[in-house]
Formats: sequence, structure tokens, C-alpha cells
Amino acid sequence: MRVPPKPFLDFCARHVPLLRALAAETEWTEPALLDAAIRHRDEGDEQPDRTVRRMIDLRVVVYSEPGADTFELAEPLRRLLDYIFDEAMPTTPEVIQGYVASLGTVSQRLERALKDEDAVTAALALQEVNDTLRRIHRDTEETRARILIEVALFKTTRRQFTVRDKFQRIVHWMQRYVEPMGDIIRVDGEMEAAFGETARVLRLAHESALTPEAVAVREMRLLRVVEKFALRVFQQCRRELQPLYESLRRASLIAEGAALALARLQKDGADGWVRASAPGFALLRFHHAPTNAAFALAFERLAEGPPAAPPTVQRPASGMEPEGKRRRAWLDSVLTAAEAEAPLDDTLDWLTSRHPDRSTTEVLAGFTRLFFHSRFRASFHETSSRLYRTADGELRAHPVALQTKAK
Amino acid sequence: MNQLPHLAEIFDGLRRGWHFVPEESEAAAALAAEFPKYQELFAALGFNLVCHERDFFYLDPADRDQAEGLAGKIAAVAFILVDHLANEGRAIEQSILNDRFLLGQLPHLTRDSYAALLRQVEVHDASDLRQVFRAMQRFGWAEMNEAEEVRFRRPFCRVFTQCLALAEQAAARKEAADA
Repeated sequence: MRVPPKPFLDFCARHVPLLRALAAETEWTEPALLDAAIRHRDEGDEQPDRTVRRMIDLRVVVYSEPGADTFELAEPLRRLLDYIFDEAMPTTPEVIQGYVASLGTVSQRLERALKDEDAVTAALALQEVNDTLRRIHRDTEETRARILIEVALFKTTRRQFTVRDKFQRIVHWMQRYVEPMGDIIRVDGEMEAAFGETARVLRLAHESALTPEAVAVREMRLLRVVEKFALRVFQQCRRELQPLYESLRRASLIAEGAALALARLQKDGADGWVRASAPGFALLRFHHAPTNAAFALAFERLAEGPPAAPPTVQRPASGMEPEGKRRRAWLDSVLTAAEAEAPLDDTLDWLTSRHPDRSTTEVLAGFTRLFFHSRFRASFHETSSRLYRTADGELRAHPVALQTKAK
Repeated sequence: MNQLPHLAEIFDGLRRGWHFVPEESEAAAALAAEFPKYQELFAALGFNLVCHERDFFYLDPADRDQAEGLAGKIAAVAFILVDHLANEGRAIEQSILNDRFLLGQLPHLTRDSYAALLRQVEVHDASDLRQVFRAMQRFGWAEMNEAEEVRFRRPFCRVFTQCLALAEQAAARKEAADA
């Protein structure tokens, strides 16, 4: 369907910012087109939905593919914008390969024309050689410019890309453009073979009277220039991208490793994680390790000290029994006496009358011993409390009977 | 007994987990100058003295249970820092080795996902995080001043080595699975 030129160009002239925004992405849904139209609408412009409708009607945007519900900026318009804004478009290696293959075809045609002495065909073939070489030169230059712009943007952009995103972008340029180009233009590659063959045929044309000498010479010169230029461009692109590729590759792997470790920690927890994922630390602690000085002293004493008698426990000079021992002996005697005289009607009374010289503390210790001993059963009388006298005080308590337990 | 200089100082540092950087002390310089001899001596005692590709030295624990709790905390904090810088698109190694970081401005406790990961290794709050950085300082991985400004030292590169190893292992596993 033919596009009306004036309405088309008028629309484009009025909506340049919108068109540039559309050129920045490869695919748009209709709602996204409407959003873009709203964002780039000026005062006095038509309604955004009408703008979208006109873009579709004027084929400013076209369907991405038949049957799709997404749109893309029309390719000729995209190239026009690149031309107007001097934004280079990279040429894919396939396109360069196509030019190289086309050079081979036209060289064969030129050779046939020279052989058939067909001056018209030879002139046309020479012109086609020129066109093809210029296209290779132009497209290679655009690719170089595009890659340099990308590298500059990459280094200076403030837009936040993750390390992985950056690496993927550089990988894209390396793998999509630079490396395949290297395959085409390398020594003994396709381009060298095609250029060599073309040079041979151009020499034939130069020697032949069929074509103007100057034309053949011009084409041979252009051939040499384009060949060197393509090689130089490839080397320059590689020089720009390779360091970024190497450093980003390493950074991307480091980021990936950290992400893997953290994902493992989240999934499996800390148990075993350190052993599997973390760098270890050597911590060697000394436990009760004698120093060299201690060893030296021990050996010195062994070597120089005379044998000595073992230490003995010193008894008190008075010969009296220790207080603790005497108390223990008394408590044992209370136990024995109570067992012999049980049942006791009033245990405290029995203790205080039998041992009037014992202090309150001692009487209570004796009572406790008897009360809790496993050989006896103690029980409280349901009578009122009594007063019991000790050597250093009084105790008021309810009487407690004591019986031996059956064995 | 032997002619290796600064042996006691070197052993004392290594057994505490210190990482020696040659240009920072005489002992470290001696270690760098005669590394094979030191390595042989320590090997005879059952220790693995390592020279990292970034030119610093440490003892690699034969038993990974040594200081496992502390190693886990340090590793988690380090991996989170790497992850954060990667997400910001910053040059990871250059940033960590050249920039200074304020403890209070690190994302470890402010971002929920990172805080949850740190809880797994018993780092719950700013005080715990501070202790981790102090531990890094004891091992020679970082320096932290009174203003809690952290500068990482070259031994932190062990984290990068570990990350690369983990990525390579994952790639090898994927290749084996695809084959």
C-alpha cells in the first residue's frame, strides 16, 4: 500500500521526539505506543490515541510480523533517523559476507565480459565492483563508529546496569560483530580470497583495451584501500572491546560465584555452607602448652635438685581433735543412741535432756539428722508447742515423735 | 635451629589467622623472599602455607571446622558486598580494593534479603556486623578506623578467588549435565 508522502513527512516532522523514542526499542504493544504518545505530546497536539492511529495508518509503525499484536518502527524510517542524527548502524557479518560473495560474482562476470570483448558488460561490471567496495567501506566504517559509540556510552553512562548486563552487552558485540568479522577478513579468509580474485580480474581489465585504463587502476586502488581499511577496523574494534570483555568476564564470574554462594546459604542454611562455600581460616590455639622456660626449669630441677621426702600432713601441736571431726563423731553417736532407745515420744526433749551442754546449732543439727534419716519415721504430735532449753538459748517447737522403720 | 628470619613472629601471626602482605612488614618481606623454605618447614609440621596469586600469604586450614562460625559470618558479609556492587554495575575488584566504605552505609542490614541471609549466620544487628569487621581486621582482611570507615586489604582477594571457583564448579556441573 502506498504511503502518502506529504502526510507521512509532516507527521514525522511534528513528532521527532516520539519517533526517536520508538527507535530506541525493537518492539511496542499498542498500550505502550499510547504511553509513548502521551509522554511526548506537546500542547496543541492531537489526542494521543489519534496519534497512535495515524502512526499505524501512515505505516510509521508496522506490525513486527504478520499476525502479531506488537509493532516496530518501520525500517526505512529507522535508517532515515540514523542518517539524520548521524547514528551509525552496525552491519552484520552476514551482510559483509554477502558483499564479498557479490564481489566474487561480479568478478566472474567481468572476466567473462573481457573474454567476450563485451565492453558494455565490462563497464557495468566495473561500476558494480566500485559500488560493492564502497558499500563494504561504508558499512565497515558504520560498524566501527557504532562499536566505538557503544564502548564510550558503556564507559560513561550513568544508567545502572548490573555487571552481568554489562558483560552480556560486550559479549553481544564481540560475538555478533567482531569475531565473525575476524573470520571473514583474516588472512586466508573469505575476503582475502575474493579480493585476490577481483584484483586478478582487474589486472586483466587494466591490460585489456576494452576498458578505460584509469577505471581499472582506480578500482584496484580502491580494492587495496578497502582491504586494509577493513582489517584496521576489525583490529581497532577488537582493541576497544577485548579489555572490556576480559575484565567484565572476570567480574561477571565473580558476581556469579557470590550469587551462587548466597543462594546456597538461603536454600540450605548455614550447616555445611561454610565448608562448601567459604574461605577457611586457620586458628591454632595453644592449650596448656608449657613454655620453653618451663621446660628448662623442670630439667634444671631434675638435674640439680637432690631427692626429697614426700610431703606429709602436719597435725596440730596440741594433739586435740579437729572440731569438725568431733562434731561428726557426736552426730554419729546421736544416731546410734536414738536407734537404741526408739521409739522416742519427743525427739527434741530427748536431745536437750541427754545433751544439755550442746548449743542450739548442735541440737538442731542432731535433730535434723534424726528427722531426715532413712532409718527413722518422724511425726508431729497434735499438741501445743513446748519450750526446750539448750546450752545457749531456747527453742519453741511442737513435739516430734521418732520411730524406727521396719527393716 | 634454623636460619629463617622472623620465624616466631611469622608463625604467631599465621596461627592467629593473619594474612601477610610482603610490603607491609619485615617479617612479611622475609616470608616472601624465602617462601619455599618457610613452606617446607611448615609442611613438615603439618601446616599448609599458601602464597595467593595476589602475593600474600596465609595458612590454609586442613580442618575446615576451625573457626567455622566466624568464617561463615565473614564469608556471608563478603559475598553480600560483592553481590551489592555487582547489582550496582560497579567494578567489583577495583571498588573493594580502592574505595572506603562506611559501616553504617553498607546494605547488609538495610536490605531485607541481605539481612535474612545474615541471620542465617547469626549476624543480627549492627553490633554483630561490627564484630565481623573486627574479625576481618584481626585476620588482615580489612582495616576499620574509629569513624567505622572500612578499607579492604589485598587478602580480601581470597573472596574473589572463591567466587571464581564456585562459578567454575557450577559451569562444569552444567556442562556435565548437558553432555
